[in-house]
Amino acid sequence: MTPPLKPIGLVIALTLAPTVAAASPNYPDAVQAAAGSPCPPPCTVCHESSSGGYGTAVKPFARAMAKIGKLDAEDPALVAPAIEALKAQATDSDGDGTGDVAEVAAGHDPNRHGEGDLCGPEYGCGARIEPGQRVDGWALLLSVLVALSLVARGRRR
Amino acid sequence: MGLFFRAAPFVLVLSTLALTTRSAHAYGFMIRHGYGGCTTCHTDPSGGETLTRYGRAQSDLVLRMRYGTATVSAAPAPATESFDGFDDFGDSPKAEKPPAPAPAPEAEDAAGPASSSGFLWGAFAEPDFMALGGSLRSASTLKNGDFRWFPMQADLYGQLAFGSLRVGGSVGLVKTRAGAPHGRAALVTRGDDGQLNMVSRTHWLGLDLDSRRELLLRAGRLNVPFGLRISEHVMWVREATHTDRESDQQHGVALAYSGEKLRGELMAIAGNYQLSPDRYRERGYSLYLEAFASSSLALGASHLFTVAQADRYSLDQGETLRGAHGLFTRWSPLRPLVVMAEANALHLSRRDLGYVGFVQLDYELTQGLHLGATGEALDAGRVRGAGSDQSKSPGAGEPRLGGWLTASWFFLPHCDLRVDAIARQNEAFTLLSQLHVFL
Repeated sequence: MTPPLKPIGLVIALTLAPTVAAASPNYPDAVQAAAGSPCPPPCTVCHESSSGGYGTAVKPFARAMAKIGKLDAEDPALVAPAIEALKAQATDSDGDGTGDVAEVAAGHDPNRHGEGDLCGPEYGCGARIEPGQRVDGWALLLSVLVALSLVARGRRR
Repeated sequence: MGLFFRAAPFVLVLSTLALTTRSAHAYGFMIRHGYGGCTTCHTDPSGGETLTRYGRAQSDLVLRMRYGTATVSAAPAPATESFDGFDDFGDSPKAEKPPAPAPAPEAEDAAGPASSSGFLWGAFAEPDFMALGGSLRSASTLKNGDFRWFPMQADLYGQLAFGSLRVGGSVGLVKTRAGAPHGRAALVTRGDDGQLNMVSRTHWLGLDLDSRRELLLRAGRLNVPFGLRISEHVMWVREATHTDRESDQQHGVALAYSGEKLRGELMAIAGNYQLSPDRYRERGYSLYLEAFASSSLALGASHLFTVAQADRYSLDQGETLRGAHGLFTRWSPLRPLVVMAEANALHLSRRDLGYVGFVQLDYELTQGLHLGATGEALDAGRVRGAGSDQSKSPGAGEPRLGGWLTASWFFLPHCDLRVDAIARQNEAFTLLSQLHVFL
């Protein structure tokens, strides 16, 4: 008995086909752009943990932004106006005398009294992979499907 | 033409390695077949990644769907009068592990493993001292109506064994971004945000300390020995204890024992030397011990304790003590059903005590097709200290609950599809699908 190749192919296609979405701009990138921080801040600048999630953005900085700006988790474009408003009001969530936005811009944690590291450790050993030609996703998908079908066909013989 | 078909897997490999990436398999539910231990099927004494030849054969015989050919997995388990130990080989002579069965040519129509069970579907026969493998995993998520696809993992891994000396490790490619909770800790290269980078999740030197290969001493970057070694690196029980096989490995020295009715591993953690500065590196130890009460029931305990000068997750700049202590079990009351559970107490500097746990049911509907249900709970503890919000929230002072419904289909040799419906408190419903190919 041979594997039902058509249903398998259909399921694979459904798994891989909707490959249209690239990563959309998200909150860390939006905060970095708006506040001018040296790195995209970690999720924990707003959320309880790096897992994020609705209802977990309870850090003082997040609460201050939410109070001033009408934030929507799915709309990072709302971050910039909220940052501007924080800056205008010189909000200082941790009460250390330096405003939240100034702290973020300096790479400091606005939730922690004092300087606090916002960017965290560096990862990797310093070397880089030379950027190469951009991979064509559709060509790649096609090659994978062709390879799989060849393997299946070869095995049937 | 035969050469062309044999070359097809290479096309697949090379094509997909051009991609980006994240981690792999270790199936605790294999206890339903009497495989409680890991060393018969994996080169890592605690499971995961590189398969032994015997493991490859078992993957072909009892894991994947065989479409009516010598299906053995969902058949009723033979009654066993006695329990021989961790890796009960059924009809095999007691206390003697069967030799790794060589993949037989044209075995598809016979009862043995197919020739395609070998590395690269049998296209390359490794010499005896070598075990090679790899994982390519593509994933897509549907969340809030937003469909995304991303390459999750593109790793090659293996082991060389020269007498009692072993060398093992993995290399792969990954695209990750600043602030991402996964992937970065295993980076070797340091490219720009979103650029292709090289990862090495494990790399180690090992020495078998006895002739039965029950004691293995290793040094290098290793999976942290703690709890159930499951493939779901985003499951809270792995995330909250920072013990997944995705990128939570640490450098250090570990001693593993793989006995017949007891197994365990103790690791002295020297820190993750793929991140800097040093103040973020955690040092301490981690261990687990698992005992078999019967051929279908394993009970274990884990303990982890580390110290760092700063917390790399919260970025708190102060001495950070982290601990996790818990129990876990694997139980197969009926051959098609496996129950896995783990519960841990958590403690972390500047947080109240917390806990994390999960219960997972895996039901093998027919060989190669699994249905699963998982419930998980997390309370990482409320944050304490000046400047912190003192209120409780789900997951931080209050329990946060989650549930997974899973379907896995091992549809062809080396290939499986998995779909998870994930509902978690304070998180949008997520439909996650994965296509996994192992080499």
